[in-house]
Amino acid sequence: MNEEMLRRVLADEADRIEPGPGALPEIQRRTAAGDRGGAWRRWRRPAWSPPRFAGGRWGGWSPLAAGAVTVATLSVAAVVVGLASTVVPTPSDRVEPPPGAVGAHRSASATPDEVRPGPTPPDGAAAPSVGTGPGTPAAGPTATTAGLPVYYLGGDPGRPRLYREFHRLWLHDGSARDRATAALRNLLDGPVGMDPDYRNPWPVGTDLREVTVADGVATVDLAGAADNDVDEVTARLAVQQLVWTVTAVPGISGLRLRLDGAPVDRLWGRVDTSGVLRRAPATEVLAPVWLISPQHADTVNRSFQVHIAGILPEATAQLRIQRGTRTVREQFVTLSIAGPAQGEAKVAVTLPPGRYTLTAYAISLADGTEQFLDDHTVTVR
Amino acid sequence: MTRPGPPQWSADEAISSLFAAHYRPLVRLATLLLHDQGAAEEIVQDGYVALHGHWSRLRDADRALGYLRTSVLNRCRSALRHRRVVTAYLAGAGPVADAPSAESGALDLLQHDAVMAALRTLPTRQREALVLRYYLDLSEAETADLMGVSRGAVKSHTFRGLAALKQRMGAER
Repeated sequence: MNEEMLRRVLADEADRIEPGPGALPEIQRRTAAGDRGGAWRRWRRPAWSPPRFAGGRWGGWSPLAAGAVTVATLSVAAVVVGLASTVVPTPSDRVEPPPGAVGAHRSASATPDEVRPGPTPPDGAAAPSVGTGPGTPAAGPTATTAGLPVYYLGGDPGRPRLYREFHRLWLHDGSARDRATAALRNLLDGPVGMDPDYRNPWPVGTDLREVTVADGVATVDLAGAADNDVDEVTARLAVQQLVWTVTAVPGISGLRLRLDGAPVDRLWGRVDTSGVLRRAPATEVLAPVWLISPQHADTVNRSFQVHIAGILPEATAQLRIQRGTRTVREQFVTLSIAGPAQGEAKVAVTLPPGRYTLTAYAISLADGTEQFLDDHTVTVR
Repeated sequence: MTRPGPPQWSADEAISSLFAAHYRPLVRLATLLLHDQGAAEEIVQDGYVALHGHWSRLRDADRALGYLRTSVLNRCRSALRHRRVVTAYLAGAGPVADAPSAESGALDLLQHDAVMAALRTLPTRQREALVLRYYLDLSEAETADLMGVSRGAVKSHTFRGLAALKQRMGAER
């Protein structure tokens, strides 16, 4: 095994890969429709697509890598960080059951603090997320993971709102700083969340220089984020995306923003970022409907729970389940409380194995149209 | 490889030309990183759609290729976040796609598959470094630029990746 052999293997492997037809018209259709590349997709399984491994959309190899979602031992201490200064965020950012991983030893109704055995990260596994330059400590054998909330923008590009995903990330010491760092690195690591409908509007290449935490306020220092050509609404939501992600960490209730080490009073010429930034009211920034779980690309057991949250005047959401284009289930879901609070509900579902699209949405009281759609594609095994 | 596109290219013309020039290699790159051709094609298409929106600021075919590669790399990383640990993966995985082309030459099929399987077990950054250096034949500096890391990090990812491959291939024998 040498460099030359690797070159040849990669070249041979690449030669086997022949893209399917019809991509250019599809790209042209999307650009004509004003798609910005945030990628709403329907599920295609074209005939020419190679067989996939178990594990749904991203199933495949062992991801001992950046921000990999894994089933790992949760050290209870790292999960329940009870600090006096903890904000109790609404909606709850408590650790949810992790996304249904392949071979996850959990029922769909796993309790949030359930502790599961799992592989410990092997030596040399990359620390969560982001280009690990020299000096970044690799996750050692004592590292643990935790499901951390990471927020994204989604919905109507002209009127984006925040959505939340839980990402299972490696931790070093489980401190507030450690958690904020892991979540932010993961957030900045790509243009979209696990759900490609969830966008990260920060400039590509934005890097996290440092996070420090003092007196419940995290100071977040970013590089490569000085310029961004976005409108005012997106800029405001981009800041709130950081704030909601960081303040989801117990012990952190506010954020100070720095760019390349210096305070920034006005970000991108659009939004005031001086002083300590706090969460804006949920009704102003969160999407009115969230499909919390299963998360996009999850694999679930035949019987599982669909967890929906919403800020809706009538506390009534809708759930639709489709297989291909056929709707197999369509129902009202009554949430625990009406807006302006965020209500929640869980619906028990049993489905034959296959791939489904779950859509949570609301029906407009004004004109009966469907609005605030949040859809996830999942595999039932 | 590419010449700067004429400045009068519209975004639509740029996409058509850049599609013809780069779509297949980008899909191949993304598939090598992800090992999922369907997802790879979607990711590359997303990159072109995003490029269309940015064309007014790029207006240069060479920079566009850099943009597309960066976009593919970032989206692959994002996709990899979804990967679950499958401990029995290597045992359970079936053979990859179809039989290799007749040009495989001296390297036998089993060995080829073993190298690819070993590559898939590497940490993301190591696999990226190896694919960019040995498939795209980028220099260390270019690879560092694309990955958004230092040259030293590229060196170390490459070295460790190769060492791990050697070790796993050794274990095969």
